[in-house]
Amino acid sequence: MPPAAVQIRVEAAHGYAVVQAGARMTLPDLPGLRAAIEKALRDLGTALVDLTATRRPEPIMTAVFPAALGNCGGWPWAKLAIFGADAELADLLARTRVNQLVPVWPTEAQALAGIGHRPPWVRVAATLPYTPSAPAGGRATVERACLAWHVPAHVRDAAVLIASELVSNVVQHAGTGSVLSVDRGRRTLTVAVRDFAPDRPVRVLAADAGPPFGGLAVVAALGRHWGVRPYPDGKAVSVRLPIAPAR
Amino acid sequence: MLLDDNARDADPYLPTQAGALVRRLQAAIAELGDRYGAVLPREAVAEIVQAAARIVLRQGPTDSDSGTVAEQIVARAKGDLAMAVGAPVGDGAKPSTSGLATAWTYLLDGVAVVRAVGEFDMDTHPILRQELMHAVAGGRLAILVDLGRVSFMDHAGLAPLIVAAHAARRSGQRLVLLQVPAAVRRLIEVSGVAGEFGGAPATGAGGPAVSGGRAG
Repeated sequence: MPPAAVQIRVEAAHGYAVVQAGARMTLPDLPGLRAAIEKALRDLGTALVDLTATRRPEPIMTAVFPAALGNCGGWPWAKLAIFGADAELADLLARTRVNQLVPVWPTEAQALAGIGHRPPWVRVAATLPYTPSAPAGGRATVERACLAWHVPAHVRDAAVLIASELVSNVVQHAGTGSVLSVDRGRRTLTVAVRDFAPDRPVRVLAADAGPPFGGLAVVAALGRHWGVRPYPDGKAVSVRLPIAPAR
Repeated sequence: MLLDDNARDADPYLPTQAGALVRRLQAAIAELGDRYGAVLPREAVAEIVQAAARIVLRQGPTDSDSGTVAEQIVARAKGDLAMAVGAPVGDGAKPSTSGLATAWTYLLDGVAVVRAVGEFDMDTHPILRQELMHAVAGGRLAILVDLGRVSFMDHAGLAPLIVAAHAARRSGQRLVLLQVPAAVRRLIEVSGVAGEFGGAPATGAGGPAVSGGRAG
């Protein structure tokens, strides 16, 4: 009987689990890998993925790690690292920038030692309903993340206000639920809110649309770097804030 | 007019007066609290009286004997408190609450005081609008809006203040914001509505002054 594609070794005494990927990780194996990582993260909060045995992976495999991490709440509520990747796989993880979200280490001991340090890129997302209380939910998500990531208070305040305005805008004008994400890079914090109204024109915040109005004027004043990304079934508005010490 | 810690510290008249005055007012509050029981939260009353004292002091005759001024304020505050505690006007002592926010209106002698506590956004702004309209309808000369306990406000939460300021101006009243948190001050600035509240507020420490942010 061939070995299972994915095995889990639980280090209960040390509060983490090692998810060992098999030698050949093909597309049909990936849901099992993702489920194993998510189970380990949910049960123990910390998971290490052992890729020592894995050879010639399919590139799409790298998407599993951020997806599992995001599904379990993101760092520091879920801590995930990778070790034992060969040169080809490590290069793939670097080129897809997955290694920014999920640190890649040579050995299990190194991965475990580094697990408490914030990765260069951290991300949290929340699905918000189409209700008047959705902005409060979005604010709570941003505030919680900023506190956990040690974002300076003035940036946190701006991000919370921007999240509230963007989610309010979706509830009022798009009339759908939304997905809010907040990302911290090395020097920036990005708040993005996606709606699900495919038939609404992207008129807000466009440079040629005249001055923005209402809450979006607040967003435009607080965040000089913003963008609108269309989706087949809606759009996402994102605002990037520099993380610099308070003046 | 926006009164905040910066403005208070910049006023050379207040610091010498405020300490003794606040002690006298607190004694008055304690006395009233004993007499009437905990109909009003004592802490809330203390803040109201301090806010009222600041307003009166800033507008009072500076050439008067300071002791007399203080006595007048204490007497007036006692009268206001007795009125508020003993005979709340309208729904004065009953807070409006919605989710994460609460607001009260106290109609006192000469002033209406609106206290807003919590988070004001598209979900909770109706209660602030309701209390502000109640305060404006009370016909007092000044409407003091105490924002000291507002933990969050966005554009939807700010809108009732703008509407109430318009309504107050139309009826010859003044709407004054008290204890404006830095984040709310910044919201007022970036929304370009500082003029609605009687002038440009002092720029808070920490936040970059963003003005003219509405330009496309």
